[in-house]
Amino acid sequence: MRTKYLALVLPLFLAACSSDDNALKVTVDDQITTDVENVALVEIKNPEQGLFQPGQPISLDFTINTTLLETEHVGVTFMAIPKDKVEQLKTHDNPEGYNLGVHYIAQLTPGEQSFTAQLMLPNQEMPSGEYLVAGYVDSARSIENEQDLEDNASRGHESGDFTTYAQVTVDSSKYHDFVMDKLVVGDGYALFPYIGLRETTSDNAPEHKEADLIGHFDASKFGSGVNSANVSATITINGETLPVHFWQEGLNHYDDKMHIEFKDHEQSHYFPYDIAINGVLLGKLQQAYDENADSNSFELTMTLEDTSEYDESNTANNTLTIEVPYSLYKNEVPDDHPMADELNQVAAQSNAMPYPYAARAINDNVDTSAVVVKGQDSLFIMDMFANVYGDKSKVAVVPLFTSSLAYANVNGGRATAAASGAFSLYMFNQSKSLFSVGAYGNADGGAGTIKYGVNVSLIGNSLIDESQTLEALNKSYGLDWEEEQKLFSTTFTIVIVPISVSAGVKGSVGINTDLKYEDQRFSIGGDVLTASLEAYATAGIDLLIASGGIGVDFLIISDTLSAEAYVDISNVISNSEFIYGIDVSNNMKAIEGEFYLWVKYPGYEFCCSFPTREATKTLYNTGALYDKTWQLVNYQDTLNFAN
Amino acid sequence: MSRLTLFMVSALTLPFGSVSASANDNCTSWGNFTTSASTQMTTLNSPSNNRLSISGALVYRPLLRTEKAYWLGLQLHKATLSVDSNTAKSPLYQVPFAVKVGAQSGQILAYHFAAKLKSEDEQKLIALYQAMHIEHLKHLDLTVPVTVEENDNMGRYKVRYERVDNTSLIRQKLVYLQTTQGSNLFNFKLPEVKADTFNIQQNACWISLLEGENKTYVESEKGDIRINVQQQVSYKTSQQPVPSEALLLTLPLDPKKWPMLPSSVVYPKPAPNPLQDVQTFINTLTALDLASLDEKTLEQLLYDNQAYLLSLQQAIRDGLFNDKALSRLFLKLGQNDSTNAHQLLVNLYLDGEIAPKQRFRSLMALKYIQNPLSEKLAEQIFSQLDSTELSDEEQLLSRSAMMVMGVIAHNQSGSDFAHKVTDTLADKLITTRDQQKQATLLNALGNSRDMRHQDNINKYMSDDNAELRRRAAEALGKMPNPQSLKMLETRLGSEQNNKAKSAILEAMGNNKLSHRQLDTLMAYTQKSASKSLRLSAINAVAKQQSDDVDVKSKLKPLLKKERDQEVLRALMQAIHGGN
Repeated sequence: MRTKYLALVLPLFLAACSSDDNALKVTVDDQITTDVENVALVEIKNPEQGLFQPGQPISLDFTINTTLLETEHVGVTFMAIPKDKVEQLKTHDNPEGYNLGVHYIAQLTPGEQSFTAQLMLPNQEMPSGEYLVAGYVDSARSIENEQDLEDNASRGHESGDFTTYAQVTVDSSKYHDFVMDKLVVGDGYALFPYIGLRETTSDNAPEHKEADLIGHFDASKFGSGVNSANVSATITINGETLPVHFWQEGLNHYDDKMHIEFKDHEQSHYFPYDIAINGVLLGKLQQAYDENADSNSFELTMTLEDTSEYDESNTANNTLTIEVPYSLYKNEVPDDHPMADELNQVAAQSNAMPYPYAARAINDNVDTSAVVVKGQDSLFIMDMFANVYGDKSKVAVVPLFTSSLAYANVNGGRATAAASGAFSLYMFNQSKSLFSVGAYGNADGGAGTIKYGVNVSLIGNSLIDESQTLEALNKSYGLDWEEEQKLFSTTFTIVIVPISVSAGVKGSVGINTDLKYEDQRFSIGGDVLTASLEAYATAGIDLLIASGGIGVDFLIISDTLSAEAYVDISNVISNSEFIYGIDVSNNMKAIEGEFYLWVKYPGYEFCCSFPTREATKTLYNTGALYDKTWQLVNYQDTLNFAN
Repeated sequence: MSRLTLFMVSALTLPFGSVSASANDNCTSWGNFTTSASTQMTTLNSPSNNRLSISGALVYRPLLRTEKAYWLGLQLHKATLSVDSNTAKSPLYQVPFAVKVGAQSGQILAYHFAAKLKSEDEQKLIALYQAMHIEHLKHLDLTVPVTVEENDNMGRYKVRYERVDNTSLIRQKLVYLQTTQGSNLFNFKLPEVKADTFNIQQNACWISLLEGENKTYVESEKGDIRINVQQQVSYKTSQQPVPSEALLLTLPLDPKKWPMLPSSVVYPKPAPNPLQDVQTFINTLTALDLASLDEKTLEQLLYDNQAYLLSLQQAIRDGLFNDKALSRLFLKLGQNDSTNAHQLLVNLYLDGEIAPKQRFRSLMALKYIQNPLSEKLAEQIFSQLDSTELSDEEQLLSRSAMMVMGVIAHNQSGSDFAHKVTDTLADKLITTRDQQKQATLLNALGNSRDMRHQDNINKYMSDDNAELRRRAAEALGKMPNPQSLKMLETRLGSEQNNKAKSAILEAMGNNKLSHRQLDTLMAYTQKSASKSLRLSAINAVAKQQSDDVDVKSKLKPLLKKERDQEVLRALMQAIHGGN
């Protein structure tokens, strides 16, 4: 303001001191025009590369001139418009142009400033031809009382002056480039069955349905014409490279490659993968495993493969390789098994097939991952599944399912059947135990009793925890309910301005299980656990200001863990016979939907108004790859120990 | 709730003349506090600007003093909040709060608030005080300018103090050294202090004048979100009498004895706008597809018609809602949290004519209440546990009800109501001889996290019943503190039952362990220990990673011998997980 007064006073003062009227007038005019608070777009340079395709990045050098302003956080918005329609920028509410993005200037400083804006031509149909890229400084009207708004925008085309425009040619042919940005194995490591637990001869796509490796990769795609690609992967161990196989979304089997589609062009896309390895590769991993080494690892390589008829512009950035630590597992008999020592001795003789061996599913004759350890008159079956689904730095869920069945021929026979499921949730690298359910029964043939237990826990709070010893049991747990829980929240204050971030889940959880014990037969049946949970998250200045934040439209997990298990000890004494069966399957859908940053802001529309715009940046936008039903264990038999 | 609460009017003031003098009134003072901030937030390169100002009469009152610590009371009386062009009174900023200061160090030890505030709102009041915290300066030699390191909720920073004369000094925050790790959902780069200078004048008691400006820039790690704040803070003590209607002046000297303001005062809502009568309400509700109805619409409908909520009991009995609708309705009733919603949910829980599944849902809904249940309703829930005429299903419900009461007590922790609930749970635990009830009550007290009752829980750590010992250990694990840790550690050596012992190990892991305790746990990670103990010990040791960087190298040798899938996964997770 001070300078305006100066501008008004100066003419009078200077007029009194000079005899050269013409020279004085020039000086005064200069004073008036340069001393007003203003920012002007001075120039947008033509990019060195003049030819662009839709969906291609474009970087533009531009210059502004600022007078008496030091405004912080100024946006400069850019639009490409066919050269013959450039007049619409001044006359039309919705000119036939294409938004290229906003360049952020941290602070204006008086004088000329030059910047380079990293922009993107939209991934949509753009007619080929000559285009002008126009700019507008202060797209959110952060500057108060600016004197001249006309020179904020590109101008002068009427007189053939294109200094404040960049001139480019758009060629809508098939330019495209894929980039593999990041490759992650679920939790940073892998576990495979120990020698003898799974076959090591098959060399094609595995027939089992349980994943060996869950993870994700981030990939980008530039160019508008080609939106899909294939992905292949290999594991390199001891210098040998073998292919792995991808779960096929909707086709219910594993195959050589995964087909992916890019929905947008602006950001790195998240792609989940579900990989299985065949017997030969498992054998190599087992052979290479050094039990005395501090750690063992293999290399996982993943490659984006162009399947279009056009040449990809750069194939050198299509592949990433990471090192993955791994280990080999067996299943140990729990110490509360009455004949744990004997069974553990059996299990320790891992090469003495057929025990222990993987449980063979009854119906489709496919190995499941369950381990069976059979002694002379004792038994232990166990299966466990756990994996990380999603990106822990954004949202990820870790399901953990265990089921077991055990028998020992002591005191008239003692048998146990148990199943449990639990979910942990990660949001922004922080974890929380979400929901867990467990059910078990221990039948004691000598005492003629059953000790059963059922527990349900939500976010660390016990809601059901039943445990009792009875002579007969017939209980049904048919419970489901809705939850909406804020799980993570934080507020930090910049002196007194509070910034809050919170995230949580909403949806339904439940248990639908029957437990029965009658005539020395115990059974668990039904859905041990059901859950359908979505994520929500918010972030922003926590004083009723909605200027930006996180948006979520996102399924974390939908799961039904079904278990049918029975242990029958009624014939133990009469016929030296233990009858049992266990069939556990899981239907799971995880990490599906959209998760994004968003912003609402006043944006210049290249004509007449500053309406509120909304922009989003997608962090996740994923389909239903993790939509799968598989059998964890399916095994029925009779243990006859008469001999 | 005490008689005092009855006087608390919506503006958090008392009528003139209701103040009684207190012991430390000599230093009680007030002054005009004003802060205004200009905030620029840039998300995805798009800037947006907001202006925020907070002002009011900041009342300062010294409170309880002990040998080790003393409390200072503050209240921003008649606080006004202005966001852009909207100005309104702010009940939240008017909530009295107290700061506990270490007598030897002058460091802040704790905060206490006269209302159950959302954690994000506690931070807002804490921020007010942090701008004015000078107690630690009494322990600094300021004869020459000094630079020290201090913390706020963004991280650790260097700050310079320079005494100008006997009563004035200049405070300048210089630079952040590190960001607060792990507490923020967003990972921010190191905050940048662009400017920060405050002139502070002290008097014999506290501050007589504080003036200054701060400019801070915060950027998310990936640069998607940038926040720039420029703000002025000013406080000038007034020579006028302390506003006697300020609530802080009437509160007991011991903040822990302060009555809690009801949430309706702190978070006031507009008056409900009910439908014309109860039948219209029921008709409206049953005509809607509740399972897919917009969340806000359902919440507003229940809020406006809370006077009619009790009529829903008969509607539910009559089967007017399908199962999915009920599932949604129960959750929203719990969140509604009105007196009538409480009554309805308790009525439904106790209603033998309603299916057990729906009665269980009413319990799950009760978890959400933030306001105290009436004594009568609480008593009805508690007495159900002791009823002798319950079916199997009702017994299960009554046990879950106790656990839900524990959750409610935790959600309202620190309040009179929460204390009454946990006192009742503890009384029942002591008096009942029924082991199933004892087990339930241990779970319930664990859910409450109320460590006032850890001695009662600890008695069950040596019970003959291993199941009770397990549950006692789990409960103590939910209230990590030095005493509960000692209880767990004491029992660890003598515990023979593996399930109970596993629970002890897991519970110990929730605490920050000493090197000796960590070594004790490491002994259980060896292959010689049974599987369940190894698993629990590894999980417990893994939780120490943030405090003991050596944990990974301690666990790594175990990989050579460990083969069990479950234990191996825990081990690999601790060593390689979290990339």
